[in-house]
Amino acid sequence: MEITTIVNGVSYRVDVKSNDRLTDLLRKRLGLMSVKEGCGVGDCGLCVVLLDGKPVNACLVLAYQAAGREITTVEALGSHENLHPLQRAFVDVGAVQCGFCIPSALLVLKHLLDSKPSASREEVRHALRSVLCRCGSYLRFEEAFERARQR
Amino acid sequence: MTELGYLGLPKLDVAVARSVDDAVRMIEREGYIVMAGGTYVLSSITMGVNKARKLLDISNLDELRFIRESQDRVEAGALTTHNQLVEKLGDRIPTLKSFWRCYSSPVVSNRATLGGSIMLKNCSEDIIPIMLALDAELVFQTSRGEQRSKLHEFLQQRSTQPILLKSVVFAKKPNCFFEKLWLGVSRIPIMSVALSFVQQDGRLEEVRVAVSHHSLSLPNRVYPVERFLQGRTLDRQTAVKASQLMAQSINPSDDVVAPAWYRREAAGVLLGRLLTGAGG
Ligand SMILES: Cc1cc2nc3c(=O)[nH]c(=O)nc-3n(C[C@H](O)[C@H](O)[C@H](O)COP(=O)(O)OP(=O)(O)OC[C@H]3O[C@@H](n4cnc5c(N)ncnc54)[C@H](O)[C@@H]3O)c2cc1C
Repeated sequence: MEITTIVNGVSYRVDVKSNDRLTDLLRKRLGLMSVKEGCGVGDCGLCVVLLDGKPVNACLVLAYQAAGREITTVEALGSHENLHPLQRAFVDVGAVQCGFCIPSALLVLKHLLDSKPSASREEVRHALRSVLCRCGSYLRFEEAFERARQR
Repeated sequence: MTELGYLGLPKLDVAVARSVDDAVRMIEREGYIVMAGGTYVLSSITMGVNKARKLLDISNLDELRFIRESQDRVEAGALTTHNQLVEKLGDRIPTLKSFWRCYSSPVVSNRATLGGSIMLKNCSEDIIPIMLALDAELVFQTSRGEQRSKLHEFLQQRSTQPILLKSVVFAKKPNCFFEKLWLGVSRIPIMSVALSFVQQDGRLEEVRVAVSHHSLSLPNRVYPVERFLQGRTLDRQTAVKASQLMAQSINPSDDVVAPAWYRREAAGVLLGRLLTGAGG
């Protein structure tokens, strides 16, 4: 079926099959490589994107369900010249190790920063539960959130 | 189902419901399986443990997405998400904040629905023990009209007759508590326990005690513990005895997350903590 969806501010008209997941559409069709395929069942959080501003696991959403909705991936967060405050903070505190989960961690924290900038340490940790970081960089993520908040 | 390391879904026949009546017809006559938030349906199909291929997407049915409150009760539509439950009711039903505190993947709560949890009848659904403690009643829609069932009775029914859950009605109890023991990222708890009561002249009345693993992986109320607590005062001795009775009164599953004996112990300890905490 044909759907129209807005991804990172650009409107796309695409033909999707009923069993295409949002991950398939974003990564395979639109080439947005920040949307990773980890576990495919919602446990790892590597495919997190913002759907109408809220974080969701793209592997648990069917592509046609994005019709008429707005999707944000980390590609739209900032640019090389103009990083988002969270991206800047991730660089400053050295939060990136292997990098695999960074897009998801950034999006989860962006949602928290936008919806509750005064989030407590506990709340930051709680939000990050959805992202499985095998390097264990959670303390750095927390530190980066704190810096971004101060900016 | 993998291709160059990608997981994926098999061919699916997905229909989008246009109205509640439409959904009822497709469930009862055409063999469609309901998909609400899809967080279980899609993950279980991906894992190969769910053979459903005819899915009925009800997520557009706004009639099933509401929260109505009266003085002492709430009616929540089946499509209310876990996150909406917490955000809209957490201040008045504090146990929903405990539910949130223990939630293993908050991102999922933006899609996972109350109806999806109830219909799964599984220990993975933390909201079930809480709804049991809040005396939840289920409202179903069938082609013969509306049907109601108490949650604790519904959990005992073996029938797998496909049916559309419309809403859940539950009490607003301030004295309701929830605690869960789980392994970090695992969505299956080792054990979760919910407790509610009213206190009259220092004595416990209308006690409800529910666990995630009552019989194997099926949640339900633990009647022997409820009867024991009924009419007692909330003190340390009561908490210790209730904990011991809890461990003897359930028959939890034995699996890779935890052995049955450990789950029994955990249930006792969690109940003890809830009682001690509730008693100040
Ligand atoms: C990684 C992960 C972590 C999670 N962590 C937690 C947690 O910590 N605590 C917690 O409580 N939950 C947790 N969940 C959510 C939970 O386990 C279920 O996946 C979720 O509640 C199911 O809701 P859904 O709307 O997505 O249901 P679906 O997947 O759409 O459906 C689930 C089942 O219910 C049926 N169904 C759904 N709605 C209806 C209806 N209205 N009428 C009739 N049948 C219906 C479907 O046919 C299906 O059998 C987690 C899930 C994941 C993926």
